[in-house]
Formats: sequence, C-alpha cells, structure tokens
Amino acid sequence: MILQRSAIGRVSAERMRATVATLAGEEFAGRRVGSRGGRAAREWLAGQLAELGGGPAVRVQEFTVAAVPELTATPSLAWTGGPELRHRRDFVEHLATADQPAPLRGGVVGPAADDWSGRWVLVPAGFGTGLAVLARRAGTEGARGLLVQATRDAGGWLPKRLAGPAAGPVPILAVAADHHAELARAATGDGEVEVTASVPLRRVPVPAANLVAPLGRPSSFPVEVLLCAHHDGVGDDPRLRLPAASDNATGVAVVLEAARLLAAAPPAGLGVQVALLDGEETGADGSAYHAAQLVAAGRRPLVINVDGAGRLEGAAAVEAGGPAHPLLAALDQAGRQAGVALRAGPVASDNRRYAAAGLGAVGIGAGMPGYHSPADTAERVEASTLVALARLVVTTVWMLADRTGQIHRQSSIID
Amino acid sequence: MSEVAEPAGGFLGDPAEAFEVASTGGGCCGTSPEGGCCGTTDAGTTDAGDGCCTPEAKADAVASGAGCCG
Repeated sequence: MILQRSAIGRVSAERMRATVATLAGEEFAGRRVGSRGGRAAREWLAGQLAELGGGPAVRVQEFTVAAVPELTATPSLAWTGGPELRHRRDFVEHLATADQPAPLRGGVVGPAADDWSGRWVLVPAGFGTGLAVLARRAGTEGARGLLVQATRDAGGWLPKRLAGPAAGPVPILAVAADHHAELARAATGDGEVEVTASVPLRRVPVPAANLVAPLGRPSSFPVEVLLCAHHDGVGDDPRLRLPAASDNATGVAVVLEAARLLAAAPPAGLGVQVALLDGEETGADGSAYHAAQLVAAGRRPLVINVDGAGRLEGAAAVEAGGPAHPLLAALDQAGRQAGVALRAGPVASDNRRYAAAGLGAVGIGAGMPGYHSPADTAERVEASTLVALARLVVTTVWMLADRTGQIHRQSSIID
Repeated sequence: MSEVAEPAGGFLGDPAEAFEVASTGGGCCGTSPEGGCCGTTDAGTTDAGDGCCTPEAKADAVASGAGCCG
C-alpha cells in the first residue's frame, strides 16, 4: 500500500496536460477517423505506448469504417433579405442530408403545402411526421430540400456529429431556432423569399485502427483489466478547428498516465491491457471490432473506459454493463480512497460495445466542455479533473488486484 | 487549528442503489447497446439522432431528462 500511495503521488498533471495539448493541436486536425490528422495522432500515440515501462508490444488493429460523413467545403445558407449566416453558429449540415455541393435556389413552403416542387420545405420543430417520411416525399416531389430546427449549446455552437441516420434523398440543413423562426416569418410576409443553400457532405469508407498493448510481458493471469479510451475526434471543418480536447484527448491522457503508473508498480496477479480506440465518433466502431476479437479469443477482461475528463462537476458519471459488479465495487472503494465522488449516469461510449459483447464494462465520464464544437479546447481542460480521474483509475485497478488476491487466498485455504 | 473534512468519494447515496442505476445505463440509451447510440449524447441537431436508439429507450431518456439520442 505504501508503494501504491507513493505511485499515486506521482500522477503528473503536467504530463497529462501536455498530452491533451498535443492531441488537440493543429497537426492532428481534430483526429477524425481515417483522416490524415487521425493517422498522425495514432502514430504519435503508438510511440507513447511503446515508451511505457516494460516496453510493451503495441498491436495495430486495423478495420474499416464504411461511410464517414465528410464535409468537402463549408455548407452555405442564405435567403432574400436575410442575415449573414455562419456555419456551425447559425446552421449545420443534418446527417440525413444528401450530398449537395452546388447551391440550390428555390422558394419556401411549409410541410402542409400541396406543392413542394422546386421549393425548400421549412419544417417546424415538433412537426408530427418523421424526418425520414418528409425526406422521402421531398425526393419524390422534387423539393429542393428540408430546413429543420436545431438548438445551440451553451456556448452558442451547433455541435458536430458523425454518428446518426443514413443519407436521405434530398439536402437537409438544421437551422438555429431564432433564424428558423425568422425565415418562417419572412416566408409568410409580403414579397417572395428565396433560399439558396448547399450541403457538400459526402460519405466515404475509411481505414481505421485501434492501438492495443499489454503492460509488461503478455500474461496468462486469470483476471485481466482493459483500460481504454477513444483517440478519434469529430475532425476539423474545412474552415473551423474542432480540437476535441475534452472529447477525448483527456480520456487518452488519463489512460496513458494510469498505464505509466501501473507499469511502474504492477498490480500482483492481474493482467493489464491498454486500448486506444478509433472510430468512436462514428458509432463506437473500434470497440465493436475489439470486443469481437477478445470474445473470439476467449478473453474476458474487465473493461474500464474513460470518455471525457475535462471538467469534473460534483461527481463523475459511471455507466456499467455486462457482469460489472466487481468493477463497480472496486470503483466505489477507489473513489472513497482517491476522494472522487461518483454517480450513476449515462456514458454513451465504447463501454457499451464491450458490455454488448458480454464483458463486464464501466464507462467513466467527467465532463466535456465545448462538446463537439470549436470550443472543445485544451485550455478549457481542468488539470484537477485529469489528476482525479488518473488516481481513480489506478486505484480501481489496485482494488481489483487486492480482490483477486483475496479470492485466490480464500480458494487456497478451501483447497 | 480547524478540522479538515475527509474528501467525499465513491458513489453518492446508497452504493447498492447506485450500482443498480449505473447498470441500467443511467436511464439513457443503455438499453440499446447494439443500436449505435454512441457519440450522440447531445441533442444539438434536431432529429439527427433519430434511428439511433429504440423508441422506448429514447422515450425513457427524454422522460428522465438525460437528453440523449436526438
């Protein structure tokens, strides 16, 4: 325990902040899966893993993500007499959009209109008919496209997403509520209003890769722990940086720091693996691939996934799935020892893929200021949160090792 | 010298209850882990998350104020 306390004291806020700053830097361009920046970040991380104590063999686990949304230019939206609108502040691409590189011009109607041909259809919030149905009708009747309503976040951004519905038959833009209402007023007022808009968004298959490394020598311990975090982000826009610092450079920094400490003070009787996952933002594709590989190999590690360690407000969210009771008990104990409060809350991340594969898995989330927007910067990440999460993860692994040891000792006595 | 309180840590409230809630996805989309819900915890774009979760999971999420999955 003295060794453990000493190791906990060596958690380095500076090292983690440097990791976050590097991953959020311009060179890695928001780290979208399959992008040049994403690949460069992965290569840098492979080097970091290779430097861990014990010189672990880093495995690159390659897979393909089938259809990643990619903006080839900045979408545009304007209407007659309307204000100058800014992409991601005032409007964004909707993920169900068709690719529309060239601006399309047309009048505006509401969805109750009989004739949609050659018009943009302005869909009110809460309109009873589902978007997929509206898009099909728009395609059949030759509408220009759909304009739906969107909600800005607290920082005034419309967050970017890569995971969502498949592409539909017509262009779709999501417009911030105030401008959506303004356009509705203009369209029902005097004079003809015409909308001109483009949505240059194509879907491309891309190569992706997880990085997987055992700590120390590959082991045959009966109990294994997998520490993981996704390294990909949603990627920069053509003219806007989205650094993806909290989501999830912070999780990667925490896992790397925990791995460094555990390599220096290995838990007895417990194997530890690290996985830095790709393709989370497109639907947790990397963890789905990795979980299937583990199960096929007959391995059943307990999984600890960190997604978001940017700003701890009160208590870290914990979501569990699969046979995770030992993990939850160890986390609870570790939280008490490390002084980190925990609460049950959604962590919609890679942990769900491992749990769906039948593995005991917990996701831990401690804040993502600026989620999926240009405001997710390294400057907004709190060092104290990074330190708290690293201590929590390391202590949890040691608690699991203690429990494993106790179970073995008890088995020996019974035998 | 004033007394310094021990830092609070571990699950808030009754741990057994917290384990139970944590294991059901915290009331969000955890009921549909195969649905590709990941990465869509914020309803920033109306309807963008449709087709992500099951209708039941989405209704549960909205009712609980979790704001997940569109």
